[in-house]
Amino acid sequence: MAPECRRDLLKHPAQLASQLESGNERAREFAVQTQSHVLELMHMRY
Amino acid sequence: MTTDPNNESFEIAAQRSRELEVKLQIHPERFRMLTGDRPTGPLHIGHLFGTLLNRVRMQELGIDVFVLIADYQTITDRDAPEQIRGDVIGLVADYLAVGINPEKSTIFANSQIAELNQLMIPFLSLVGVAELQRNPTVKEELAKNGARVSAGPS
Repeated sequence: MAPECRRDLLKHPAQLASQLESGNERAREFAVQTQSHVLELMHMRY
Repeated sequence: MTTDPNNESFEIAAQRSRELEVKLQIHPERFRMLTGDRPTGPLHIGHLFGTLLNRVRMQELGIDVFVLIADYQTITDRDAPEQIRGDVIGLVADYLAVGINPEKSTIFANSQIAELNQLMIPFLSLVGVAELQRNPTVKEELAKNGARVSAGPS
């Protein structure tokens, strides 16, 4: 995917919001996994 | 002759960076990088040379790059909260324009990941008050606002 200039990208705010939501989803999965590891390490599985 | 502790700690940090750089070239898949910015307006040439180009370099090496849009961190320093949406979307545009590829790197907004709040207690427990006071952002805020500095995210 070739980078476009900022001005052109800003003409499509819905696409930018959608890119952000995809990233949010990946970050959410990672945070859930991390939280699970942290609880495991702290012996907080009840 | 006494050694300047600042120079000494700079040299130690520089040496660690050199060693890390070698490891990054050999096994980039073993590394994950967290970086990001506060959404306070368009990024500028200082950001480009100070960090953005390096983020793209890390991404192209194959490192798992997470780019945090630190929107929660603007709670305490934002006069006009209604601009935040435009600033966040503008930051996404800045990242894509510079070559951060959302298929390779993860761009996300702090406020949208509730699980990060749940991780805050265990992770904050690992940070001492003295360590926090040495953090450059906290030091800068303390110098500017003294006792009024928030205990929340900086």
